[in-house]
Amino acid sequence: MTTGGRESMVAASPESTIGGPRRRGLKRLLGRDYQLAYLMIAPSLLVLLGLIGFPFVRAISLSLESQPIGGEGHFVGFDNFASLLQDKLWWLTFKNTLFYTVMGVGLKTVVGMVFALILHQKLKGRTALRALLFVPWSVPIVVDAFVWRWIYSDLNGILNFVLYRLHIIDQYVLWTSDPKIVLWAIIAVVVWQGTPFYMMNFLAGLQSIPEEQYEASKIDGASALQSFRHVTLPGLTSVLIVVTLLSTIWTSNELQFVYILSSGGPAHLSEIFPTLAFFTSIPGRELGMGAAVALSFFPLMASLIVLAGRFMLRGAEA
Amino acid sequence: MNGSKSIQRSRWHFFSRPVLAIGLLWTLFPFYWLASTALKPNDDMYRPEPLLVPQRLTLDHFQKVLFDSHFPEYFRNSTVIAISTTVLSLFVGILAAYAIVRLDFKGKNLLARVLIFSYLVPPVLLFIPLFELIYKFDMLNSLQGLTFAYLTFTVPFTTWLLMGYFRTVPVDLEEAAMVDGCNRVSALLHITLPLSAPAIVVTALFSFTLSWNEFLYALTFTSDAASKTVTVGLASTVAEDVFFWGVMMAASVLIAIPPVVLYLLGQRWVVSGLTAGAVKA
Repeated sequence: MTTGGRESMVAASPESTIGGPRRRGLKRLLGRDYQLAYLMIAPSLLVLLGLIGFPFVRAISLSLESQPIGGEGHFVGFDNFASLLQDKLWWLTFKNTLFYTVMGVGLKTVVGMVFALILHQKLKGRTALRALLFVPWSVPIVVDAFVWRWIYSDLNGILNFVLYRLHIIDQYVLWTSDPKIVLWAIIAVVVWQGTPFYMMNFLAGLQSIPEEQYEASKIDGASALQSFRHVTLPGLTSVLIVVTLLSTIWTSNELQFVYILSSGGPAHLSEIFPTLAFFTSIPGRELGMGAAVALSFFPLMASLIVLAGRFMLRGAEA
Repeated sequence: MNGSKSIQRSRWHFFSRPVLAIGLLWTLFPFYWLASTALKPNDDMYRPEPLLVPQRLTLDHFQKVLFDSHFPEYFRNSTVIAISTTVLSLFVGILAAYAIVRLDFKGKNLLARVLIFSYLVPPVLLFIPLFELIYKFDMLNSLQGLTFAYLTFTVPFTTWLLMGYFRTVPVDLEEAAMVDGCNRVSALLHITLPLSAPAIVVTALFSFTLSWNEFLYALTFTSDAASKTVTVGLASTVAEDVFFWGVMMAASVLIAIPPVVLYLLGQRWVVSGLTAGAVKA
């Protein structure tokens, strides 16, 4: 208001009537502070358009080309997508990604909720416990993945040794190369690494539920389970939605766990879209096909992004 | 009623203590194993019966990482990239966030929307065209190339977080300053920025750790020791040595220290930060 007042005073003074109407017109059209504002957002527009917008459009056009690294590309229409859909590997990757994401996100939600509820109690050393339980999440994923690769190691790995000694297994397990086990072994690491993020968000959500609601439900004679179902869960709905949406996007797009623990093997049984896109485009040198792999997963991704974005915008406006 | 409440409570405690203990063991054992491997001599590491408690400790692996490997270069590269990404994205983010929150111009709601959606666009969709772009500008294996790539996630994130904080700075203060003859830019510099200092520090911590931990872009855009970052450097160590686990774990400890320290410092803000304020405590 203040600036507007000052500037319109200037605009109304006699010496600015030359060219005044036109500038006022622009001002009405583009907003009161358009000159300074466009100057200030210019650098971010450069990043958004040049480094995100343009590459995104280029990803689409690349997916319609046969483009080897350093070679001449030529337009092939939807051939890349057509051959992907006929490829058993694509369908296997699709199945793996779905399984990996649903299991990962589901288990992180459940385990994160259990630990949030435990830490929400008045425990001794709660702050320290929270900090400790948060460590896996703050360490670079590549480090997390290598620690587990060492734990899973066939011959010298500690997991096989301990389980064998405890008579839980009667022979050493090939955690990351047994077809039946590999995806589960990777999911375990994903859950181990990602649970802290869920736990912290659920804890924050739990703390925002007013104590009176629990007291009221107790007066009504609700059991612990009933008050969880009728007070805790409704109070956590928005946190639950945002966290699972964001985490679904992040989990399904994270290639480090698979890349480091199994490289997608054995025989692509743990291949997921991010690793397939990487192996096709960079070591395989087929940029066009790689872009098609990444984009073939995009319709699903786009709907998640739109949903999550809406919730985040709503949260910001509230 | 009081009785049933305490029964419920004790039943819950009865259940929760062992679960918490298992959870702590599961969470922390890998880090114990990481540290003890880093400190164990090779002779004690590759034996049929691994030692749960190391009998002898050695700093050999750390010595190898620090004085007889490419890791010092990787550390330098990661530090340079993470700091330049942070500084650049703060500059870009502060200007854009201020304009969106305080100034009146056409398209600002659209810009806010585009920012949040681009924060959510996963790197897996962008790394191939970015590779092509960086290749054409002859910036593969360069720290600049990676810094540009990292701006794709730090700029939307930084701007979005700062928008949230700028909204909480009372607009009256700026208006008072402008009545006293300050212009917009000096109001931003002298009023809003100092008042948002804690937020800017936290945003910087985030942007530094996100860049430090990044893997896919670094894996795609760098291939020589002079430009690799710590994360990709670690992944490429595997091929170099048969008995590499000691060195790997020693390097892992060193790589993990900066982000862990930063997160412990900024823990209070981590939750609201990562969902970019979508989840309110």
